[in-house]
Amino acid sequence: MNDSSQIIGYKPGNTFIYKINATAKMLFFILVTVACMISYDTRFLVAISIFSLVLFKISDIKWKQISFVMKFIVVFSLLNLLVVFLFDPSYGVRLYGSKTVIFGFLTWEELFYLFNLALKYFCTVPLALLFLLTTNPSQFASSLNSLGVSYRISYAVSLALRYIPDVQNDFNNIKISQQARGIDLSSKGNLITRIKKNVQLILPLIFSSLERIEKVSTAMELRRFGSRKKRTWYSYKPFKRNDYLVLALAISIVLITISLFWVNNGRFYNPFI
Amino acid sequence: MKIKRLTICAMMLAIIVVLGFFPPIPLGFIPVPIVIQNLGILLTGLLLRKGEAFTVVIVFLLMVAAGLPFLSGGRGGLTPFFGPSVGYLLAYPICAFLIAWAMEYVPKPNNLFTALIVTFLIGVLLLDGIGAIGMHINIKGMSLASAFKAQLAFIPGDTVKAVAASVVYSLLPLSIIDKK
Repeated sequence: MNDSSQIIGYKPGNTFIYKINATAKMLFFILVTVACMISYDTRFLVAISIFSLVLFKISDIKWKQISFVMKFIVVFSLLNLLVVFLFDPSYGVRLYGSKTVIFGFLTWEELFYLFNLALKYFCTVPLALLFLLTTNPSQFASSLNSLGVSYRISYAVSLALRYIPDVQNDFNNIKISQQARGIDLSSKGNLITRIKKNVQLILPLIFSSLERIEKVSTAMELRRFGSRKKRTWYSYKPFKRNDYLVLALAISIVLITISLFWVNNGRFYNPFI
Repeated sequence: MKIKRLTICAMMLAIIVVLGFFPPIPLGFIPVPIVIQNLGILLTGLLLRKGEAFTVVIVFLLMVAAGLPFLSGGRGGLTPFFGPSVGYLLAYPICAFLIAWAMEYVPKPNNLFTALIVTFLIGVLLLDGIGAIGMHINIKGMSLASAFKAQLAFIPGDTVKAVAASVVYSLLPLSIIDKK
């Protein structure tokens, strides 16, 4: 009945990425993301971008599943780049120590800097969606627990990840119902009107979400959750060869980033010297 | 009873994330858009205890910092923490904690007017104030005075959100609002 293909959340799949241990995936994701945020070496960022996109392609995630969120990511990434430029058009010039004017106050150095920023998006967004969509929340909870986080906190985080598709689904249902009753959700109207319309969707969304708490809590309690200091995990998976390879790859990427600091005498790769 | 607290915290975390899927409304003259997501922060402060509220928002920020695209507009990673929005992001856990703390001392729980005053003072004025400082520090050439002036664009929307959060709070059963 409801089209759930646009819901951002875990869906089972068969490619090898789904079979990698959730702990290894999480560590890989965090390490590579931090490395890409720190480095401004264009060659490194291009390589990671291609690697990210290839992984995404291999994972067999349907475009339709993410197109809703992807539209927002693209629009606001572009907006962010534009704003960075408008508020300091000469940052690239100071950064790279040379000035090559295209026209007006637009320079190749600034364009190059913005290109590096855009590459960071290409590096991290596919990996983030990949991690979100290919990791079972239960495995994620057992991952956090195996990293030393209390199992109650681990379980709360996995509950939140588990709830995200449900809340989105509720939101879609509420939105359709309200539109059937005449609410116009398009971009017409002034700022306050649009905010009020959003609030009319949000209030029932929050109430329907909070109503769930009593039922879920009682069900967990009836199954004796939290009655022991430790617990076993149905979805626990031990590390295998592929998981160690993934970790080794992540550590290699971080080491490459660090060594590029020496090669480039800093975070930036400067082709203008 | 501890299980219910755990479930409420998880649900509040999910609500904060899902409110981030609402598209931000960009304003032309400053690089910080109007977002619906901070309504989730206000609700977290109202519905949870102070320790829980602080922890939930910190976990949310950690998930964002780790790269998950949970900020409004699908932003994530470390970049937002070094941009003009950083003041708001750092203010989120502080404001959630302070709202939860203040609500523990009000004489009448789930009184709408009390919740509105607390939410407006902490969740709107204080949060926007800290956000203005963040904008001033991170936007070259923007004076502190013009950063504070720019907050006026957020006051009406944030006030609506404060009213919405207070209404939700006042309508919820007491079994969920369990401050002690």
